[in-house]
Amino acid sequence: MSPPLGPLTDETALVSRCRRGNPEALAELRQGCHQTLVNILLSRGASRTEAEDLMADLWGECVPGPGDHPSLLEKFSGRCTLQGWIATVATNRWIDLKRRQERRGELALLEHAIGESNPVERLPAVSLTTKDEALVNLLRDSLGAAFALVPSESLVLLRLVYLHHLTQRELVRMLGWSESKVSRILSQAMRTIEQHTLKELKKRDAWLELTWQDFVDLCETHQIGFS
Amino acid sequence: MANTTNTFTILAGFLDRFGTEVEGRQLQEPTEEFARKLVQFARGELSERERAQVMSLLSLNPDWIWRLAQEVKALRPEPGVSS
Repeated sequence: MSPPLGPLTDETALVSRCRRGNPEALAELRQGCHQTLVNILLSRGASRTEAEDLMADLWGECVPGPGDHPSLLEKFSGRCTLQGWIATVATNRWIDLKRRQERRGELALLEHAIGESNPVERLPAVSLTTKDEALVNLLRDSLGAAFALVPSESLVLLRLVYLHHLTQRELVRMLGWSESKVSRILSQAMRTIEQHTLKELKKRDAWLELTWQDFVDLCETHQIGFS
Repeated sequence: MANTTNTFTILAGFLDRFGTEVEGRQLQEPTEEFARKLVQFARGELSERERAQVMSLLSLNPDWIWRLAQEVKALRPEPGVSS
């Protein structure tokens, strides 16, 4: 389980100062959440070296870089906690790093197998957008696969109750079922989504350790945290 | 910690925004006959077979689910009126 994300004091002002390149603001931001963010990456499966290296790079990007390169924080919408947002960006980068490491391993094997000095040339080009989309694609594919396993009738009932705010008693009247059956079907559907989503994550990236709450938090941050 | 309502809202919202078409997304209007079925469904007047047919169409057209929800809500007693 990741440590809870506590709000920083006066986040909006701090973000503004970082965006303008204020070094004191960056130091304050780093001091306020570096250790928590490293702990989050460790809990998600990163090594300490990976976590520290990733965070070092990321702090450097929180202020504008050379050549008018904007601060990474320009992408922060302010609609979620800054710490949660940075945790999402850091997790995305770590997943991208791990996948590149895997890819390098596969290339080394390929090189060994075919005796070719530069097997990279034989591989299809990777889209430039892949890096930023690694995490969102992973979340989407895992969740989509889990939703596909839930009976379509149960998904309709979940939408009626949780998105359109019908009561379970109203479903009982519509369906002619017992209240316990309605409740059981809704709970079972949510359990299926949770269990299969986490299973799908493992199938795709075995080294990634996400709790269900981590998963839901990452989905939420992706929806509201980026401008 | 999110409750179940928040959790499902977040997940469904995420798939609606970034997702593939898990539940289908046909955008045409429902037929008059189907709209009548929704009213009957809301009132608990459909047989099991008819309900299954309606549910199947709703899962292909999740944008229509709100119509069913509206029909059910229309049956709620007025505030202050005892049922």
